[in-house]
This record gives sequence, C-alpha cells and structure tokens, in this order.
Amino acid sequence: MKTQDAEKRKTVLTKRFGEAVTPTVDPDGVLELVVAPPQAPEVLKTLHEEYDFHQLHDLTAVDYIKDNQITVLYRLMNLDKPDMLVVKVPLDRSQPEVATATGIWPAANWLEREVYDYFGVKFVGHPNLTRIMLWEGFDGHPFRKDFQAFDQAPPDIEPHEAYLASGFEGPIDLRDVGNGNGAARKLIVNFGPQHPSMHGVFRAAVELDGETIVDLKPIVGYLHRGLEKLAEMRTWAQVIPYTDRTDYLAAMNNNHAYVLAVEKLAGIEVPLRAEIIRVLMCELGRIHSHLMAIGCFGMDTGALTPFLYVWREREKIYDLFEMVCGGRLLTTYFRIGGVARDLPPEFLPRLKKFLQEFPKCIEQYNNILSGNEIFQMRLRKVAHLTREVALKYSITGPMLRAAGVNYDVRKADPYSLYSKFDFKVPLGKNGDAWDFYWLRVLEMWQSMRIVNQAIEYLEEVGPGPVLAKVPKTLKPKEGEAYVHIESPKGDLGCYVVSDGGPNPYRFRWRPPLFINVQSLPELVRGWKIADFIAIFAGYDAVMGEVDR
Amino acid sequence: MEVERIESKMPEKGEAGRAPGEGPLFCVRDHLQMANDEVLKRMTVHRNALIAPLDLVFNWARKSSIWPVTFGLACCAIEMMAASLARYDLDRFGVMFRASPRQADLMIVAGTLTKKMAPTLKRLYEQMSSPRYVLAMGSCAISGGPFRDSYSVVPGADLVIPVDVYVSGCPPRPEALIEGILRLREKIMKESVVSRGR
Amino acid sequence: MERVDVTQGLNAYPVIVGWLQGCGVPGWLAEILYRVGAGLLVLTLIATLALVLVYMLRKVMGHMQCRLGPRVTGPFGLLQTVADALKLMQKEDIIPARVDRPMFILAPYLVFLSCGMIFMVLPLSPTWILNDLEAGVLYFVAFGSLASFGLLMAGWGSNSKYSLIGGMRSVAQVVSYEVPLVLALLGSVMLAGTLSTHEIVLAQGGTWFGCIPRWFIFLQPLGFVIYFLCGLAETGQTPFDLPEGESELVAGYNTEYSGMRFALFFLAEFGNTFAIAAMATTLFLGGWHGPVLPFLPWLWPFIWFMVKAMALTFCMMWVRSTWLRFRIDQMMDFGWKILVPLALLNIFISAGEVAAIRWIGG
Repeated sequence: MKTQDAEKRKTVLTKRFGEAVTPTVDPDGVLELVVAPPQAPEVLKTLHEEYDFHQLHDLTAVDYIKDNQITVLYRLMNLDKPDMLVVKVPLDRSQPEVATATGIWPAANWLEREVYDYFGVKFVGHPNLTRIMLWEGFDGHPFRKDFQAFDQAPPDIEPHEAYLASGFEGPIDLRDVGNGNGAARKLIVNFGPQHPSMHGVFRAAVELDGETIVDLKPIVGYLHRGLEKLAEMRTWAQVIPYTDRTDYLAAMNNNHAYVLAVEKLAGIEVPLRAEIIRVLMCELGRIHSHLMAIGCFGMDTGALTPFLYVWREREKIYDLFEMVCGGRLLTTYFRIGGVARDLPPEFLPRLKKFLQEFPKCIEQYNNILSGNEIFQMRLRKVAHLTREVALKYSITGPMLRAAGVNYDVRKADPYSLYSKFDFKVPLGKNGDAWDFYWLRVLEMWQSMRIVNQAIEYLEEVGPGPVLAKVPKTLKPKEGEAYVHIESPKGDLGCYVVSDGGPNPYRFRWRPPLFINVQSLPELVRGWKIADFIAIFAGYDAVMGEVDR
Repeated sequence: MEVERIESKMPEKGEAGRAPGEGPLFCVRDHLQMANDEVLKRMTVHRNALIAPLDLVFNWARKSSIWPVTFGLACCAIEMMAASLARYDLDRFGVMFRASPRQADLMIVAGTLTKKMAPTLKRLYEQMSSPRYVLAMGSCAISGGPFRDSYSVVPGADLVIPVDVYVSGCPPRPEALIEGILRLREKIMKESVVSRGR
Repeated sequence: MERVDVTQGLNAYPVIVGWLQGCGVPGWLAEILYRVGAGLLVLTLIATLALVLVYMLRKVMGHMQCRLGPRVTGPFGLLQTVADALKLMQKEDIIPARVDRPMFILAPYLVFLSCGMIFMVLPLSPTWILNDLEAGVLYFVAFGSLASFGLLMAGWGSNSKYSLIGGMRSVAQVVSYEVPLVLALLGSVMLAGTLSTHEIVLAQGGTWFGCIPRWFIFLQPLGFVIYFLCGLAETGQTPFDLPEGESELVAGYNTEYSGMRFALFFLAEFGNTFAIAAMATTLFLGGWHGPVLPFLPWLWPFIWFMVKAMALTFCMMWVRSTWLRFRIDQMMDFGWKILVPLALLNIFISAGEVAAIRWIGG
C-alpha cells in the first residue's frame, strides 16, 4: 500500500524534476531522492510548497569516507497523511557546501548548526552558522571518520559569552525605547546552566524589559557527551545502554526505538511475548515520564508538594522496573531480538495492584494541583502554540497535540504492536501551557488503558521465549534503517547505518526535544519571567536528549 | 562499566591527554595520592583541651547540616532528586537543597561533566563559601564512566575540582548517595578548626 | 470558674528597676539597663523562635509531603536548626567583589531590625509587653514595611540580576499589600477605639451570651482573612513568595549572601512570620485571653497567646506547602483589584458594627 503510493509519487516527481533527482523506493515504502547540491534548495522548496511536506522531520549527515562524500539527509514529513520522504544530498568531502534550508523550515536552523558542528558542512546562507554542541575553538569535526583529536582540553572560559554579547534579534524591539536618559533599558539575565528550574544544564539568556521577556536565546550543548560518536565504537548490542542515557526519564522507550531500528536493519523476528512486554514497559515508561513532567509543572510554578506526591508513584514504577531488570532509572532491559529476561512471576500481581491504586493518585494530583485556582491562572492562556508555529519548528509530542494536530506515531505510523491496542489520542485546543499540562494527565490515562490491555494480552499469549536467536556478534548487512516511535517527549527517531561491520557505521538519534526547544524564543516572547518557566516546563526538557 | 572496545580510534595517551602538571585546569591522578597523603598529614593536629570540645561542637554542627547546591548535570541528578524526596528523604539528615551556591556546603556533581561545562563547574565551586565539599556521584563524575573515551567529556570531575567523596554506580541508587553523605559526615568529624584547609 | 487575677506574677519592670535602684544605680541608668536587657531578650526570643519555627516548618512540610523531616540530629531532630545556625556561623562570609558594600552589609541588619522592632509592641501577656505604645498598631505597620527597604538594599547592593529582580518584586509586593493590610487592621482599631495593642487585647475580654468569646474575628471575619493574606504577602510566603521564588530567581534577594548574613535573612523571615501571626492573634483572636487555671496563673495568658500565634503560623506553613506562586501581574491584580476594595468594604462594615454596638450596648 505504502510502496504503491511511493511508486506513484516516484513517477510524479521524476516527471517534475527530471534529471535533477534520482528516486528510489526503499523496502519500507519510503521514497528516497538523491539530489545534487546545486539543485537541492529548489527541490526542497518545491517539495515543501507543492507536495505538502510541511515538516522537516530530521536533518543529518553521514560521512562516507570511502566514496569521499558526506551525504546530508533531509527527512521530510507530511503529518496529515502521514507520509515520509528522504532527500539525500551527497557533498564533496573536501569542501562540503550546500544551501541552507532555514528559509523553508526554521527548524533547520539548529539542525544545520549541528551538522556543521559534527561534520563541518557549510550551509550557505545560514543566519548563524556557529558550533552548537561544542565550543568555538574546538579542533576538528568529531563525526568525520578521520577525526583524531579526542582528548582536547576544555575551554578556559565559559563558551558563548561572546555570542551573548553579540546582541539579540527579536520582533518586539523594546530596546529602542529609551527610559528618559536615552539609555537602552534592557537587562540580560542568564538562566542556567545551573538554575533550579532549567531541568538540567539548559541555558537561556533572557533579555528583559522589567519582568517582560523581550527575547530569549537558548544555549544548549552543556551535556553533549558524543553519544552518537561513541556508538560507532561499540558493537550493536553495546549501544543499548547509551540509548538509556539520552532521555534518562524514559529509558525503556529509548531502548525500544534503537532495538526496533536494529531489528529492522538485520531482519530479526521478535517473539510475540517479548513485543508485548516491550509495549507494556514503554507505556509504564511513558507514565513515569509524564509524572515527572507534571511534578515539574508544579515545582516550576512554586508548588513543591505535588512533586513529592508524583515521586511516590514514580518510586512504585521504579520498583516494577527493578523487578524485571535490576535497574531503577536506566534499565537497559531491551535486547536486540527481544528483552533481557522474562517477567518475574510476582511482577504482574504487583503491576495490577499499582494500576488499581493509580487512578486514585491521579485524582489526588488533580485535587492538589490541577484544581488549584492559582495553578490554572498561571497556565491557562499562557503561550500560544499554533499549528503553523508547531509545523514551522517541527514540534512533536504532547506539545504538538496540544496545538490541536492529531499526530501520534503510535496511531499515525503504528510500530511494534500498537495497532492492536485500543486507545485514544488526546488533543488540546489552545496550545497554551495548560494544554501542555493537561494533555499529559490525559495521556497517562490512555497509557494505563494500554498497560491493562497488554496484561490481558500477555496472559492470553502465555509463557514463551522472550529473546530471538541473535548471533553473539551481530553484523547486519550493509544498509540503513530508520524507525521512529512516540516517546513521551515526542517523535523519537533512530537512524542506523551499517557497513556490514560489528559496530554501527552511523547512529543518529532524532531527538524530539532538541528540535522542540528551538521554538522556545517564539513561545516566550512577550510573556513574563514566571511564564517562561511555566512554558519551559511544558517542553519537559531532558538535557540528555537535547544534547546527547 | 567495562566496555569492550572493538575498534579503537583513539591514540593512547595520558588520561587527559596531557603531560603531568601541564595546564591550569588539570591535575593528574598519579599526583592525587601524594596530595591525599599531604592533606592527611595536615589533618592530624594535636588537639588540646581547648580545641577538642570546640572541634566536637563545630564539626557536629557542620556534619548535621549539609546543604547541597541544587546542581544536576545528567541522569544522576534524577537519582539525587529521588534521594531527597519522599521515599529516601535526605532531609532526615538535615540535608536541605539550596539553589544558590553561596549558601551551600556541598556540591553533588551528579552526572557527566562535559568539557563545555567544566569552566562553569569550576566557577560554581569557587562561588561556594568554605568550608565546602564535593561529592562525585556516579561513574561519569568519577572517571567519565561509559563516556570516558568521548571527545567532549572530562574523565572525572576531580580533574577540575577537588572531590571529597566518590559514590559509584551508573546511576548510584539513592541509598548509595545517602551512604556517600554519611561518609562525608564521618570525614567532617575528623577535621579540626585549626587545620581546616579550605 | 473562679476569676484569677492574671496580672500578678512577673511584672518585671517595677521589680527590676526597683532592685537596680536599690543597688545604688541612678534612675536613668536603671531605665537604660532595663531597656537594653529587654532588647537583648527580644533578640534571644526571635532567635529561639526562628529556630523552633524552622524546625516546625521542616517537620510540617515533611509530613505534608509524605516524608519525615529532620530526624537524625538530636532527639526527633530537635537540634537540627541549632546545628544549622552553628554551621552558618562558621561559614565563610563572602562579600563579592563588585557589590555596593555599605548596602550589602547593612541590608540583613535592617531586615532583622525591622523584625525585632515589631516584637516590642506584642502583648505576650497582660504584663509582658516591652513597650505599650499609644500608637502600637501604627508602629507595627511602620516597622513591618521597613523590611522592604532592607530587601531592596540587598537586591540592589548584591549587584546580581536575580537579586535585583527579587528586591524589586519584594518592594512592589510590600507596597501593594501594605494598603489592604492597614485597611484591614483599621476594623479592629475602630472596634477597640485605640491604637495601643495592649488595649485592643483588653477590649476583646469577656464573652457574648456567656459562650462566644468577644474576639474581633467574629465581628471581622473579612478583615481577618484580608489581614492573613496580606500577612503572607508581607512575609513573602507562598503564594506570594515571588521575591525569592526558587524556580525563577534562584534565591531572590539573598542569592549572593552567605554565612551569617544569610542566617540573618533567614531568622528575619521566620521572625516576621511569627510577628504577623502574633499580630493577627492580638488584633483578631483575643490576644492572651483564654481560660486561666489556678496553677501558675500568670503563665497561662502567655501560653494562650503562643498557642494561637503558633496555630496561625501552622496555617501559614500549611498554605506554603500546598499552594503555588502567583505571577507578578496576578499578584498585583489580586492586591489592588480584589483586596483593596474588600478592605474598604470592611471598613464600612466595621463602622456599622461600631454603631450597632453603641446602639445596643450603650
């Protein structure tokens, strides 16, 4: 079905672009266009305007050192259908240059900076092509295959100070408004990297006029650990623990994305029981990630107690995780071809007990937090995320749904067993902070439904193997695979390239948060400091995933 | 976590890739033992009747009220939170998180210290008022952990700031963090008002 | 119950001054010595109270948050705050390089002073009042708002942006909430017909119909609520903790303070909390009035006063651990658009009540 569509589109596009593109259809039914660099901007623009690929899903690159080329890869998405299309632009390795796509999709801004940082690809016409994860003065581009300078000394002073001094550009320019003496009345306040409500080491330089935010510059990269590069030095199985450490609040979901991608690449069948267990764990992971998000909403608006209440339930989920794999936070429970071990016999009774108690707990949160008048005052009608802005910045996850776009990968592009489960996708109306909050509460109910169904399914299927036969040293054949799942934070993608060796040739994590956070200035301009904190809580940012 | 390296692309150099003693930010681990001995030598003081009770009271006060700065770097920060929240409740030991480094006694380096973050960490440490302590939580803060061979990770927070207590694990369980804090309490009890270095 | 004269007992002033004069100290010196001693007593009282209150806060919040709070230091963790104070004394006192030194140094003392001054007019029992001023309530209002100067000085002097915003917020807040606070106080003042705190308490003696105590809260429920809310704002408690809102401003105006200076802020915060609760007790809850038992009759009024004030403090902590923070504009709206009109309404109600009481009681 999908393949047929792709074939149809292939003929259409071949007619439209002629010699400029070389289209192929991959086994998944995703159309791939190989475009020469000079034609790239035109093709992308046409795809955006005429073929409705309104979201830049991902932008990354792969260094094919043998062919002496760096391939920049644009993954485009049409959320309404949903439909995916890949545009590959091979560049000369010695002088990689391609025109920027920021004019078409503003989301390309950070993604291109990232590619520049990692590969040294110059995006001509980019408004601010500087390093994003590393610091200016870093020697070389680490994701190039011939990169050697692993042990560089850290910068002597905090990076980005010069960048901050360079001035701000925002649409509401209050800086020109004098205060009587002719002096500009701006105050730049630095939130982070160490700040109680920055959810890790996020840094936001905020330009203030009184309490109102004129502009904001998000700065990331303080937790850039080079996960994706490290994965290239590990075997396929050894990468699983690293995926845990990206979005460390939803380790199970991350595992899921990676193992699905590798299984797709290597063509491994997963036993049914293992797949059900995976779905179950992922939904538990979603619940505990959303719990954290809710608690952070409370804490960032000044209520500490709900955070502790939320953690009470999180600890119970941690206990469940601990029963199956021994780890609390970072579980590393999934394996390529299944899960590490079967559920212990006492797991399901304990889970059922938890599911019985949990609705009452949600009621409790509603009593203490959601029903609180001040809390509602603080969140309702704060920030306005429209569909247009959401698409412009490629926002995914609960925030996108809060803006009213019905896009949940579990429904739109069902992976794993999700097509067999009955659940709804809650949608918001206003795209305000309250929707960001309330949607997560509603999603927890849906996750509970899925967990309940998964338990029934599991009991129906009965005992069986949970791990397929996978060779000790997995060597998938040459090729690439992309899998995206709905992680609690958004549309999490995993792109793996194999050269037939024992370790990944390229491991790309499409981080939903990294892409979402880019839209922060758009959302907070004109709001108060306190609103900025509340809106930022809506991103549910985990810096491990933003920076990787 | 021992990681089997299939294809090593790193040249084998020193831990931080620098010669011992070179550079302002790094001290080298071989020298740590020597420094440690020196500190221990300095810490043995001849307590007399005047100092001993004073030490007892002051050390008791300091060990009973350890205020860490809310400073989470990565995954371990979540377990740090867990330790201070409902089930583990570090507040039992008088551990109260303060957001401002000026009012804090303890910095829990909870998570991977990246090179980009290193200057900030150093600055934060310098902003704290002495007596101050540092607890390296998790294998990343101890030695770089699973990210040791990355191009952007400092292999151990002790290369940037002096560390008092190491808590191993990836991430350490909250119980482990509590153990670490109890060890720090023991360490504080051994100090003296006359010999306190920093 | 048999009426007991509660005024007997430790009537300190004549006893001590008489004794000093008996020892050959001249009258003026005895007076000064007495006042200085009383001042030191107040300082001790505040310090002790703050220690108790911090412990109480941590315990109350702990139990409300499914935790236990301090347990290890001393029996039931009772010595926790003592240890905290001792530790803060040992901490390095950092004065950052580019601060406005006089302001930075003076600010904590000013804040602490304003808190200490309030204690002067609190009638802890019929005989225990340091200074029964004619204009006691006015004095309370004046020194209560002096704290905002200290906070602004701290915010400005620290030369830190968080501190500055915190200081600004605190001034905006105190200035806005001072208005309804004073208007709410007026109700009680009108009913009692005096500004002296001592006499306001005396005016609340006795009962109506033999069972309801003649506390002003029964005549002034609205006034009490407004006063309580404004009190929360004055002391910077949740939901008005904007000046030091941790998730926004790290620690607000005291971000740059360490060691003992920070401890002074800390003490003053809790001292103020208690002072606000104690003033509410004085004005609305009948002060030290309560049943007196024959055993140690002079101590009971003090106990009743403390019980009432502590109960109110507990309520503040309760609010603190359940509610969250206003945004700055919402805080302003709430103060000016809701509390001020209500407080004005309350004045009219009080006037009606005064007229009604005169008409009935004569």
